Amino acid sequence: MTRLSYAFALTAVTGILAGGLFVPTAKGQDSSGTKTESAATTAGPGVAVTTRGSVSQTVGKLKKMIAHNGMMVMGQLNQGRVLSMTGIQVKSQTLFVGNPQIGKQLFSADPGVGLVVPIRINVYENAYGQTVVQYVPPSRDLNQFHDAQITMIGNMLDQKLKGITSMLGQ
Amino acid sequence: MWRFVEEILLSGLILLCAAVAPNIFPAAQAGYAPMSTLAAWALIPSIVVMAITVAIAVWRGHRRLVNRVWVGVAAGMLATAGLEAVRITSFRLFHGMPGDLPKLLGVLLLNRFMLGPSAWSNVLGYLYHFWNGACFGIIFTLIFGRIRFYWGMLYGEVIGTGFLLSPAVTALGVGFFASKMHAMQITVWLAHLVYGGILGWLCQSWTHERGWLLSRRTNKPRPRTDGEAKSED
Repeated sequence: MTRLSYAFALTAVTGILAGGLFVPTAKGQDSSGTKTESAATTAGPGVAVTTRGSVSQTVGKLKKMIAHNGMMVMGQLNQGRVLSMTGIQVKSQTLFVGNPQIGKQLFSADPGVGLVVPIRINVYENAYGQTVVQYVPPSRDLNQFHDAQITMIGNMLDQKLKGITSMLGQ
Repeated sequence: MWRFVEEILLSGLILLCAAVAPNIFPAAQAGYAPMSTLAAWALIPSIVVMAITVAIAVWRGHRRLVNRVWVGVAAGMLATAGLEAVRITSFRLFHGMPGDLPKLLGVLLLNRFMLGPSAWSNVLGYLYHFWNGACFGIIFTLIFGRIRFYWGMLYGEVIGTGFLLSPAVTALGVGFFASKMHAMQITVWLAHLVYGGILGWLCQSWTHERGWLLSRRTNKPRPRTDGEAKSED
């Protein structure tokens, strides 16, 4: 067999692996085809963005955007399902979002940051049937540590979250 | 002719199964589904289907295919040990990785990120990593057959570069292609060069026949090495 054949075969290997090694990440599109509409506000306890998809659709979309923005979903709490044990019916899911590199820097600066990170993003259905994505800007709490590095990371996280939630409206 | 077609079909099925393990981590990190779900619905079935397919290949007497699968598994796992040696050294001594990857894989597989690693999750994480190495080994031997070891090094670098390009790396917070962590790029390329070198060398030594996936059997025995010739003399 010629070397040319092996080069061709190597290309075939790349094709086999292409299924997932190059899995595209979502860039704001709604995989379900649902149109989304957003309006960011800073009223209430944090920043809130309203979308038109359901809670589960929005959570799915949010997870892809978090991954695309270099963050990880470290945990997910289906508050609605937990609360169903008490007889109440709500649609609410909370994502705990972090990043190993940022976490390493923050906890090296002050282990007390565990009070603030991982960041909580809450997705719920409000009284009008709208799906709301809400979070407290991390800088608001991280600034309380009076540490220049922590403050800088807090501001950077604000920008990341703003980017992620604004993509929900695209 | 039919036996050749049968071998190709069995090889294709094994290749499909082998492609599952390396792809569930990037898919999970891209946010498509939790890795624990992908493991239950894709990884475990792929291992079962592969085991059944190999059993059929043994039963039907496809010796070339069976040899390549076993060589791929064994060489892939041994090559992963070489890769691990580079990765662990870089991670522990030079902070060349953002985290301990097999431990991360373990907590993702058991869906216990919030609780952190346990002994069981670490075992599963390493098992998954070594199975990944075995799958890449199977893909290499099934497609290329017995070739010179340096093709293995090139293959290793293709895998390493593919990993760096994947969403799995972006989600670790080191930027696309680990652009914010050059030490990780070097570690990944070096570790996969070692992986490919060991894989290529072992496959060159252990695989019985030349010829890539779609080439017909040559029925030509493996030429004796110098050592074997001397021992017979």
